[in-house]
Amino acid sequence: MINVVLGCVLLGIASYIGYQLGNVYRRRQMFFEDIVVFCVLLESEVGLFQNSLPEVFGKPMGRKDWQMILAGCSNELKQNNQISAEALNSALAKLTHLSAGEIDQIGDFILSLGRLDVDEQVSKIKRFRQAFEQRLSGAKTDNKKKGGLYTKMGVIVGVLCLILVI
Amino acid sequence: MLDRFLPKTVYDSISRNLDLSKLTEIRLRSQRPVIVEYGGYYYLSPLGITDDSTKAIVCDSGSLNDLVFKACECSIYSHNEQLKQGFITVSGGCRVGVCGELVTDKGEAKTMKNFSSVNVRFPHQIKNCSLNALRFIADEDGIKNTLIISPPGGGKTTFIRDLAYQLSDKHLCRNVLVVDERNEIAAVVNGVPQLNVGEYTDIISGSSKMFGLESGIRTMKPDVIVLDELANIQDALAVEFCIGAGVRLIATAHAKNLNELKRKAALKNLLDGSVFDRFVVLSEREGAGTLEGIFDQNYNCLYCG
Repeated sequence: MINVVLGCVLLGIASYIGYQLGNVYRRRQMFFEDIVVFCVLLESEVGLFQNSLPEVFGKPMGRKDWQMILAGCSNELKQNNQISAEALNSALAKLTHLSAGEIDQIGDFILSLGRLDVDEQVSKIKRFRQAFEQRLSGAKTDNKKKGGLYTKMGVIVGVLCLILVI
Repeated sequence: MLDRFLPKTVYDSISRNLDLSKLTEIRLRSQRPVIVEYGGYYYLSPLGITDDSTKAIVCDSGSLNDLVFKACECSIYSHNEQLKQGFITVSGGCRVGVCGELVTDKGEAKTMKNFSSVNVRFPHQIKNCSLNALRFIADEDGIKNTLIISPPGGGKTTFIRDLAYQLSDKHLCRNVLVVDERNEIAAVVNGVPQLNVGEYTDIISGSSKMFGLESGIRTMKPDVIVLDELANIQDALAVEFCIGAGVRLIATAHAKNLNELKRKAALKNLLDGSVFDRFVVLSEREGAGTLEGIFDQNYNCLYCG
């Protein structure tokens, strides 16, 4: 009986570890999906409606990680009337599923917003969107291969542990 | 409001040492001392106003670029149309005039960059400043087509702002339309006028005078239209359109006196056609908005200041 319980606990732990390892790839995919959607929204907010950045960043959208970045930028704009590079990089650094190059690129994207006329701004957003779409494509492939693999491996290892213990 | 876009050193000095109600302008020029108009022109030092330029705060070009960026709410693109014309209106009614490099594309202005000078002007709503003239402009026969003239900085805009308010507040007409081409009269920000032009007043801001008049007359049924700065032939044509539509008009023009006004080629047709029933002449003789005289359409003096 104790062995069964121990085995189930080990199954649970191994599955959890496998899920968390796979979750990194899921989070990456969701994050880049949210950035791409944000870029599409931004093109119309800037190109058509010419809404200011505080208005755009104040609109809730995306999932947990991207929402955190948006909320941080929105607060910076409200309090300091600008987005500071330090605060932005500090927020992005918390997203451990992003590489240093990706963090730099996202930081450049956000800090480049608002400094150009409409045409140039929309053009720049489009260029960044294309870059993020490429990253999204890579993230989707990684999630499919590695994300699923880690989850399955976690369950398999857990089941093996259960069998061994029983 | 000022702390959101002024450089910190400038804002700190102003907030600690100056009375904002007396401050008219802050002039910031790249690599040169900051100057304020505070009952006269003075340099601005960290300890307040001074006549000594060596003690003055000096702004670099980076600070000016930052100032304009923040005045645009970190969104140059959303204020680009104003920037191309050389100004930004910020919350509170402040008007930030800018000088810099104009970026053009096939001869058309696209935007402005590398700002070298910024002039932050504070509008002062002086209630009742037009009251002395009001009885000559609006009487039992109705509202007269009126042209207010003064040199630059003479108080024309403050005057017509109050005039719009008085016409509305005293119910001298039902609907006042302000065509605020440069967003100076009512200073509308996000749909909210920052300066009071009356409860019965509609405002079209940022559009050309002709477009504002055409759409405003068609849709808002105004009894009187208030315009600022008639300067060129297009403005004169817009006035003729307005008069032709049977709407009363109050407008302004730069001129030191009536003789100088008569020499303005762009307004010749309007003056020769006796479009205006009243001319109000303002000056800075005893401060901006000094009423020098009110004249009828034949330039006879009805009131001498």
